[in-house]
Amino acid sequence: MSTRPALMIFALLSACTPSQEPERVALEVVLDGTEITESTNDAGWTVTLTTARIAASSLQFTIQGEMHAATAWLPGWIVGRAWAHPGHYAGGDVTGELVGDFVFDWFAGDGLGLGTADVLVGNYEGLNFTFRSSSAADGLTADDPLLGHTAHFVGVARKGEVAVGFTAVFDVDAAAQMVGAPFETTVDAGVSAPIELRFLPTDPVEGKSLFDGVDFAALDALDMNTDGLATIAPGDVAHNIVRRALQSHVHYAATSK
Amino acid sequence: MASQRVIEARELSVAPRRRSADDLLRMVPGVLLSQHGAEGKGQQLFLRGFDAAHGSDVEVLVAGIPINELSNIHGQGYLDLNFMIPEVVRQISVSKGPFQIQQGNFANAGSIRFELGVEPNARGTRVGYELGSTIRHRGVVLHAPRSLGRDSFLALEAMKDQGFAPGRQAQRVSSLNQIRLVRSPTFGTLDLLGAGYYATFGSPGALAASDVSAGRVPFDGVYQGDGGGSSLRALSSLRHQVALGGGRLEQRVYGQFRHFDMLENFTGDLQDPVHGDRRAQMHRFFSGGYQVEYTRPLAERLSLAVGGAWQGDSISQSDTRVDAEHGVVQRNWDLGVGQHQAHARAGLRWNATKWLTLEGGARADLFAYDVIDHLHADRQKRVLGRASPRLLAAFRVGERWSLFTAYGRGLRAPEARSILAGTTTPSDVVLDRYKGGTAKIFPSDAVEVGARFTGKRMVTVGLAAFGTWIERELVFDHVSAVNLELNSTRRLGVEIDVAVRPREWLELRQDLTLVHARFVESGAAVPGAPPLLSATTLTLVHPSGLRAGARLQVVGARPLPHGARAATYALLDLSVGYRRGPLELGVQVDNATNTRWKEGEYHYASHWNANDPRSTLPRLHFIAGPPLAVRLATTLYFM
Repeated sequence: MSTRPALMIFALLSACTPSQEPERVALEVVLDGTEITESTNDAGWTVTLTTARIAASSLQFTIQGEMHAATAWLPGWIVGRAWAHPGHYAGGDVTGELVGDFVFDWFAGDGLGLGTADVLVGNYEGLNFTFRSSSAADGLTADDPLLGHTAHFVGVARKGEVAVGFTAVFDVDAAAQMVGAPFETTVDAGVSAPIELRFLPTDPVEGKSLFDGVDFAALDALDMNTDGLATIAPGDVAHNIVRRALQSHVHYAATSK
Repeated sequence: MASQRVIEARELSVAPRRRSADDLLRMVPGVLLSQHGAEGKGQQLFLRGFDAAHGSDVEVLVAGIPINELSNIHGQGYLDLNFMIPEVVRQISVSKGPFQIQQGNFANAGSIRFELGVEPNARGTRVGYELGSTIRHRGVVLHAPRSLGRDSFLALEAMKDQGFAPGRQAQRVSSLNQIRLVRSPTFGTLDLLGAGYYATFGSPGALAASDVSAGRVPFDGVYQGDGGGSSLRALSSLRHQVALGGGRLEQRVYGQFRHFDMLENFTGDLQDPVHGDRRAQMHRFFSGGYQVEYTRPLAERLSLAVGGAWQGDSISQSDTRVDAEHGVVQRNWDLGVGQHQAHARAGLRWNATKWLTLEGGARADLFAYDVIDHLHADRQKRVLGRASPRLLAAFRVGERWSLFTAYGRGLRAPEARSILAGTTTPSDVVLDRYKGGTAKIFPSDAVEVGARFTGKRMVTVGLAAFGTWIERELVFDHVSAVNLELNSTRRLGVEIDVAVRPREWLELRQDLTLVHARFVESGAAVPGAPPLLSATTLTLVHPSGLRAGARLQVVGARPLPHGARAATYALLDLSVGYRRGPLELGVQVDNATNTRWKEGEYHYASHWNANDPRSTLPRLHFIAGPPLAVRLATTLYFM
């Protein structure tokens, strides 16, 4: 028997299919402030925001993988991203990202692009980002209230006839992450629609407000002057209450139409 | 079963790529091995659509002793077979799928049993030396007196190998001895087995394919040169076999000490930009076990097999992130574990007619854990159990054909760390992060239908179709310390083997395995499992003293996570030897075509270059397979 056919098959098999990376697409990420609506907290205060800014970095988009539905909402960050050891795939990995430092300014920057994300094709479930302290490198002026802090909100809280204007700045621990905000979309090779990043003062599922636990009248009275103006700053009790909610995934979402 | 296979000493003696007993697993049809350390570290196994990692779904026994390490810190069911000396492996028995009641924990894909001994035609005393092109030296001394039976031998092996590239260095010394102490018509036989083994090995880690293509690191290079580990084993067993009450009783008591440690880094400094992501793992245990099996006929056509076993392990294990000087950065795990594994089984074999044989039975497995978390001052206990039915039917159709069908339930017990899951989630866990599911035994349900044709002289043909379904596989993620439940999977496949033996001394064999492994709902491929595995083997053992072996293995493109795909490759390994009188000369040639191939391929995120963006996106990584290597061996036989 001739060995030639066997050698040809051998050569063919050993050469015909190289390794292959999954397809990647480039999608623009833009801010979408249209979902910032009035939010009523558990003390009956209805908050209307006029400024909402957060300093953050490293947007990540995660797939559910093949985790069972019982754990479907499991944040991608927590499953290790195959870091531990090759071959021990568990799903839920980060497969899309936009690297860089950003200030999410949902009012002044509504509709503006943050950059172009690098995204593997797949079925996406979640969004993560990392909080950070802002700096002059973000283009902030020396008198900008956000400078040196993580988040800055300005708004008015109303309850009956009472209105309290407020300014709030928050510090979130360096490298703390917001994990698992919904980003439910299928990205395939033909997708080009931008990813819209939203801030939601009210949790759309349970109706909880970002400002739950805050009594704005009490805040107004803290300075012994009920002038209808209040501030929330690091060290305040209200700061720590809101900061906790600020890190929850329920106040963010991303979509790609 | 059609898929059962027994590989005899004759075939093993000429197996190519026979560097260690670990490599003998390559002889098992349908098994794919991937070494992502150096020789001495357990290999990654794939069988029947399972990525069994380091042994989580393939049960392996050596001389009847279970070798899979339940709760090993490096991987569940970790297998290290390097303590075996290839010259004293007399048989490998392969039972794919979980269809027999003897098959226990980890046998979801199948069981592989190594039997030790030296066959009569190979007995005597011999001294061998092997010199390899990778600056490899291996010496072996085997003493198997002809006056003793095949179960008695003394063997000693020492090996040092620089490896084909950085990070592949390995050395070991091993002693494996077995002797029949008692051979009495009244009291039966008593065999003592003793083994001692120590090895050190390198660990090259995986390279990002993009770094290799950009010329930043050679194809077979390393990012860091300090990866590696050591492995130590002391093992002893006493086996008693006796005829009793019209049946046969076999019992075994064994004890073992193991130490394993290793340092590795697969991700550079992605997790820790300051100190890097090196991880040091240590796993050490003492274990003791007892097994008993009794078989006897109940009637002319009916026989009974009952048995049971217990094994207790006392484990100390740790996992630590360390810096470049190997100083401690973060302690991830520091556990003390006491665990027990026990089972009882019973089965009947009924030769209903001369053409129909039925086997049925069940086993009940019990696992008990007592886990002390030294880092979090926590202690958890858990007892888990599960029953597994097994059924087989064999039909003989004429003189040449046999048909088989079987159903079996396999199982994999959770590792000790998963018992703590939900109580040791990371300290920065806040708000609504998932704390994981409950550790449990997960079962698999498997069926097989097959046929075997046995020709008069020359040809045997086997065909088996199999399916394995897992409703909810539980994966313990050791980074986040949570138990993750995966969606349902099914693995469907076909195995074909054809053996042609035109002469008594010559056999040609073709094994082909095709697997379609998918998640049921999404239809996505189960990552890791090779869809095609082909092995073409030639075995020549001529009475003149000439021996030769050749194997061409073809591995289909394995699906990787996130839609990536590994490369297809084909490897040709050769061996040839000639014995004249007391002298035998041999040559082994690995990768005879010098194919540039990737032994392991993975898809995950890493960061190795300070100037690169710190991306968490997964990308292809690989570990280079060995290039052409030649080993010359000479063996001197003393009668």
